[in-house]
Amino acid sequence: MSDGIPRGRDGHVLNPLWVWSPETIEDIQSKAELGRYTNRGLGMTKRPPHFEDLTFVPCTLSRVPLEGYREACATSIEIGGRHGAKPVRLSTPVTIAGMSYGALSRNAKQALGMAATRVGISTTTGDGGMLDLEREASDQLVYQVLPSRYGFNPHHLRMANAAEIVVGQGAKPGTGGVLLGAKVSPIIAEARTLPPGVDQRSPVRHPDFVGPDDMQIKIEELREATDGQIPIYVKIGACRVPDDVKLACKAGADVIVIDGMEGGTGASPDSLMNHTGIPTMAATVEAVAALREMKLEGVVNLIVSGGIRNGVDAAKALALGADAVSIGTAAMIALNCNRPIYVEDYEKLGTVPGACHHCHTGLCPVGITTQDEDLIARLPSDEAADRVEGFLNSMTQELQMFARACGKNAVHDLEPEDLRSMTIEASAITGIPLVGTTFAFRPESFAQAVAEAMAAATANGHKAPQGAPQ
Amino acid sequence: MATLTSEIDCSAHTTREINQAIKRAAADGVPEIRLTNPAARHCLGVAVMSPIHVIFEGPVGWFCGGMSDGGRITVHGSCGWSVGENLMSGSIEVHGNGGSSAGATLRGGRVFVAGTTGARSGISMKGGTLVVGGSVGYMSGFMMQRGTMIVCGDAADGIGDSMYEGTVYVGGSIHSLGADCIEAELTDDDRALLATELDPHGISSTGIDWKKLVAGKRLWNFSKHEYDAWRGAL
Ligand code: SF4
Repeated sequence: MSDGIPRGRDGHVLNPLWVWSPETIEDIQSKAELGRYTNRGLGMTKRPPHFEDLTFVPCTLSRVPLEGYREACATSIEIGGRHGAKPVRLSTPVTIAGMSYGALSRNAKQALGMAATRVGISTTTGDGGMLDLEREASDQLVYQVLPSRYGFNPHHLRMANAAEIVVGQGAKPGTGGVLLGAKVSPIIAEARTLPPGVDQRSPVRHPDFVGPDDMQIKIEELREATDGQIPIYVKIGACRVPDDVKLACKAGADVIVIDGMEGGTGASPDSLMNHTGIPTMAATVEAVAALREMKLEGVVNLIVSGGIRNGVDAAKALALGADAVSIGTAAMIALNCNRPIYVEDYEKLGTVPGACHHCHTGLCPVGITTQDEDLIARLPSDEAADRVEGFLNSMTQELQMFARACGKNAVHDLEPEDLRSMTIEASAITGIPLVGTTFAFRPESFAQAVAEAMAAATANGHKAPQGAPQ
Repeated sequence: MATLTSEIDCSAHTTREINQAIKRAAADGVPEIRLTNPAARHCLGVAVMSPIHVIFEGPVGWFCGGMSDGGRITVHGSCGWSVGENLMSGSIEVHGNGGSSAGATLRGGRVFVAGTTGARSGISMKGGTLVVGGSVGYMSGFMMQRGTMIVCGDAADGIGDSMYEGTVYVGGSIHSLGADCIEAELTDDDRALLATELDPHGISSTGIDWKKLVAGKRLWNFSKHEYDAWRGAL
């Protein structure tokens, strides 16, 4: 090998240094060549504290489960009715997250809309506005109001079933977007009023308001533009969640979408994806606590997103208090992302199926994140919609399976008591006891344990140590 | 039979009632509606989608005429932030000062503010024309995509920062140009356009040292050899 890394005879790296690992070396050398940070698609590469670190404790002798194939378990919910708008009706507590026409092909957008309609849930537009095909395919479509306002059209807003002000996204909170020139085809350029082929940068701040008090007026404008008929969502990249949730509530949001750091993106600096935001599980706990403190739990609906992989993650999010989850990357994977077909085209991108995150190149081998007609043809909308529909149904089944096992006849009755933490970290984050203990590793638990020990010691005639809390 | 002119006292109605009355009047073919006592209230005249002349007899708040398409709005007073935000077509005339983000994301039509406007005027314009009789604040014309902004007074720091396309004309002094904003030669066509835009407002475009600003296009595609340009933009 000529890369200077000592390797064994079979090519594996010998004694790699932790700081200067092969990944770090590759990162430095590619940045040296590019002259900028590296962009890529999909999401973070680190393993964050995750719903994976929680386990359900279903019914045994102490409580009674529901029969899996006989007893009903409700899944539907209406969201966004806080201010009298027509709510969005979800047959199952899952929504398709905002992904732009531009980042995604028209077939991908259409297929997501078709699948959402068949299942009875909503889908969401993205940067670049509303695609006609998407509106036709989607019974319930949430229209995003993004800082760039690319393709924003008030007539489309009035055709939408909800509006979502995007304050940030989990993959890259506090920063704007980017769509590299390869994907700014003449059609996409026209939709976004841009010169074809430019590296499109999106601003991070909204053009017409800045802080939360201003956003309250923006929400009023959106309500006036839609005669108060549609709910207003506010989507926030998970950072200072308690403050942000309270501010969004005060500004008048009907629905708050909290997007954790596992959230996906079409193209983002790699460093942002790995080093900004907080994980979805932690954000869910903080958002629910903030709503509870405001006495708005169940009044302002909470959707959480970012790294939701299946109905199990969704069930855990609901047990922690979310009203619904939103999926983006999982829906793309159901469409065909990273499927081992057209393998030679993955190889041309320098990757293999299962490890592809090359959405930013515009050369998606399976026709999802591309504007190339030949590649788009690899994703017939109807067949792709079948796959997403199948996946969404599997999520509903999993949600019901866990709810029934926990003795609940509605998935929204899942609660923290149905869970245990598998790690001390998860316990500290969620306040859910560690498996095998009744103890949640939180400051208040420690304080209580110390107080109990002191009380017991005092009762036994021992003196409290000097400086101990009284 | 619709009356030819309607009049509404804003102080007696909610914002929703006022906006719905405007929309109903427009749908009924009423040519003109006069609104008294707007009292700087926000979100008046939002999403007026049919031809009608809406006249506010006093100052209005934020987002006046926002997201409208085809109406004509006149404000006899000043306005708050984001007047004419995302206007699709039609016109808005403000006979006073404007706030920040005047004409933000304008897509078509025309916004005229007789006085001065604040920071980020004409931000992310995607078409249309914004005319400011006075001066504009910091970072006006930021990320402009298309359209025309005419500033008769001075431009504060960072005018035209990170423009993609579009044209900014400044009659007064320019404190500083934004990233990748450059001065271009003023042509006879430009002078004719300025006269066409300003004459109806009684503003003479002659005898003024107009500067024409456009995108330098160095930010269109990343180049590591142009790092200085990107350093300012990122
Ligand atoms: S297969 Fe396509 S959508 Fe999936 S990561 Fe690769 S480029 Fe992106």
